[in-house]
Amino acid sequence: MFKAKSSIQFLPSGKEGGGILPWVIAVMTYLSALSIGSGFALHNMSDLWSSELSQSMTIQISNADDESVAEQAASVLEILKSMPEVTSAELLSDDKITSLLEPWLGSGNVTDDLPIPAMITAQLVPNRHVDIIALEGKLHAVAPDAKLDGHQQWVDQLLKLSATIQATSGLAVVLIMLTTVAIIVFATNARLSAHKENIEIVHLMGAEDSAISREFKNRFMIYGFKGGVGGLVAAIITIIVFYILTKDLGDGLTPKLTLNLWQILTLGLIPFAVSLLSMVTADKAVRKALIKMM
Amino acid sequence: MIRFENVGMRYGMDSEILKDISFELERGSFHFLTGASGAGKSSLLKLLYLAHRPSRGLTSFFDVNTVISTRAALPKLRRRIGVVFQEFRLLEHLTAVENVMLPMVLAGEVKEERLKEQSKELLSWVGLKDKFEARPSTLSGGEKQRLAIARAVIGRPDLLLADEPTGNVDPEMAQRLMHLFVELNKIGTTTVIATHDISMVKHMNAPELRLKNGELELIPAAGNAANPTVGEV
Repeated sequence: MFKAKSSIQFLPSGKEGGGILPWVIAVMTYLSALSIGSGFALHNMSDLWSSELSQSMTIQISNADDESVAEQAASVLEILKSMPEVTSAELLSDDKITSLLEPWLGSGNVTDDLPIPAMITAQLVPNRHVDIIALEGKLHAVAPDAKLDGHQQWVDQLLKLSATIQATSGLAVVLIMLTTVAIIVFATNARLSAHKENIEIVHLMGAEDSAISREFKNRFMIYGFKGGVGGLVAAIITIIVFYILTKDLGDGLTPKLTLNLWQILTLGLIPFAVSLLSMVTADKAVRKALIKMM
Repeated sequence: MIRFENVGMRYGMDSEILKDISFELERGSFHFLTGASGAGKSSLLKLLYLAHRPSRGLTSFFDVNTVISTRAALPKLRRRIGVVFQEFRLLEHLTAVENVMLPMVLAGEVKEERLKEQSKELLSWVGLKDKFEARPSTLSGGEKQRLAIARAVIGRPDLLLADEPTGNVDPEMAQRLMHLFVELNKIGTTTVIATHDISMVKHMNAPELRLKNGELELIPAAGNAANPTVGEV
């Protein structure tokens, strides 16, 4: 019955716990946003990586006899180009192979005496299954030194790692949220305790539990929103700095860490979610305390 | 309107503070609640302003059995009861006017400007005309008491409970405040005033609820026991 629009508030506007609480919530939001953001980015990266790898395969031909290598490579290319599942196949030039190896071996260290196999890459039709074992048999018949890599084992391991890290991020978010709830309950109880007399008076005057709770809910909703916005802004700055620092790292070898529009919008909802969580937690804590009064 | 039947009350596992209390307050009645310190006056008042449930017996407020009623039903009943606490229990962060307005705001009165005018009028009547914006901590004991009384009566409660309402004021103001209680009583407010002031009880010629060792004795008005009336102030 205590209308929100009333100018009279039965609790003073002191900052019992309220001074530090938005900061604590900001830290929790920061950690949550980083966990959620990194989970999203990792998900995108593993998606992109597995999609790129599963749509390609590599054939290496290694033999001391260069002539034999060239003949085998030509035979392999012929077979690959005849397959409907293959959109393109090409024999990588020495320059291309050198540019791929240089990030690992260092510039100028790829010398002519380094035994480098012939590399053939084939791009596959998306979502079209290729029988790797059958193809391997077919290639061996014409190119006994060919080694086929369908990347499947690598993709599987990558997906497992990604899923594990994402699950860990999710668990971290849940734990951070539970800690936030505990802190809000503690702050609510501190405020209830500090203003026990006022609450008892308005209770005896006939204030409904909902009216008493509303003063807490509104206040903690604001604390939650302030902390949520602060934490999110800090997290966004961190993500941008991280992106700038890592954007050139492993260029050509690793996909970029990116977020799509929906994921950015989801991160934007975090302050509202934190605000709602703060409000609901405070409401529950106040009602639980009030139930002890007649 | 208010009915207690064989009511007992104890705190925790202690012995009973109130024993077999039975009485009925008719609408518009006026009673003094008397008794020595420790007799159970405060405990009986707590039952009357619905701060505690009895340990046993039946209590009924405005035809609602409060022993079996739910918690959710109680705020509505409490809003019909005005209480002047002995220790005033004013909200220190609010001004005098805001303290007086508070019960009405809690009752859902949203026309605050009108309510503010009414509150100021009432404060003027109890002699606090120049204290509208004062905080309780800056008021004297007597001023706090008058403020507490104004807060209790602003909503014209059906039941008015006052615990030593004239204890901190001079005789002239005491008479003025008692006159206010009588006027409210005349328009139908059931009134119970807890006091140690026996001379006032005799002067007012009102029935008395007298507590002794947790037991209640109902003493009719001296003037006319069959039809007690409140005497002239």
